Amino acid sequence: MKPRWNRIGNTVRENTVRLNMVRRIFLLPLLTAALVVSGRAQATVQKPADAEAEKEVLEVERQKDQAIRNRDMTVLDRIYVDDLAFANGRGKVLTKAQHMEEIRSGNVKYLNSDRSDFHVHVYGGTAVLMGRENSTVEYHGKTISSPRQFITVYVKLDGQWKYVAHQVTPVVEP
Amino acid sequence: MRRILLLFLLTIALVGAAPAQGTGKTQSEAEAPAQGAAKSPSDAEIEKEILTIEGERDQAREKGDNATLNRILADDYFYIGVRGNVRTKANRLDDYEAGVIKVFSVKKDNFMFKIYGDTVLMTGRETSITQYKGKPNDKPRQFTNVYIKLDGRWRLVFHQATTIGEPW
Repeated sequence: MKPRWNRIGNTVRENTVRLNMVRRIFLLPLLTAALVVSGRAQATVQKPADAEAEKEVLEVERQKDQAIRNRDMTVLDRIYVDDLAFANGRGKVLTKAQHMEEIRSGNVKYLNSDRSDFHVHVYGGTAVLMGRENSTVEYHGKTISSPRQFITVYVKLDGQWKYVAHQVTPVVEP
Repeated sequence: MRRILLLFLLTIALVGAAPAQGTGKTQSEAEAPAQGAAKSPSDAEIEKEILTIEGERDQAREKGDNATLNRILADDYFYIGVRGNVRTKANRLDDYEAGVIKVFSVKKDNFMFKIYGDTVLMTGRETSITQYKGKPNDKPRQFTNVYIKLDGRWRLVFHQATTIGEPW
């Protein structure tokens, strides 16, 4: 059976060349479009600046956790903004001074650190860090190890990522 | 060969002119200055804007008006409910659509705002009467909202609620 394109009187070789040409004509724009869209998608997912910001925020978060465990008030004072809004797992809102006093006094003691599922959303100079915590904490003498979901909002002020807001919610369903 | 080159150039031009996927912006919008860039609104004006949007959002929650919620919630919106459940924007809109979440009345107070340029942190207390998966909730809860100005519009990027006073 002869190929359809033989109707216009071409040889098989000519037809093969023509078919290859047609394929190229269709493939090239598709490939180009795919490359452009793929490039854009990558840019949308995460810009290099966002990746850098995410890394910086996670490092500040690590320093903050270490400072809480070591009760290093100097480091906490540097990381927290003065008008910090801190909502604990009981929905109680604490000021920076109240929250720091709870740590300094030992009313809040981290017995270990177990945090995971970090997601950082960066919007210019603001980063929203979401995560899950299973750390064992002694809170006013009571040991708590049930899972909690938290967010922390960091804002870059004078070139430094500052901890401006935090909220914790106990997880009561899977 | 010329045809191939022309087609190639035409494809680039067409794809380039299409709105940027995910950002929701056309090129002209992306190049335009952000709304509010010309004059900087005062913190009081920003608070008023956010309260207006919150009013619209609450009304939409009561009515299950997903078109309004879709407009207000950012595409990468995250929600942490009082049960510690994490929901995306799509999950949340599905919940309203399916009637999994119902809001019977909205009551919120004790608002506090912190404004950092195009970021607004709003905290407050909510005693709205709601129902989630058939379970009613009228307990007071503390919430944090994060609004970010994206493409000249305030969008809610994050919401978290914690029941007040419950031991954990």
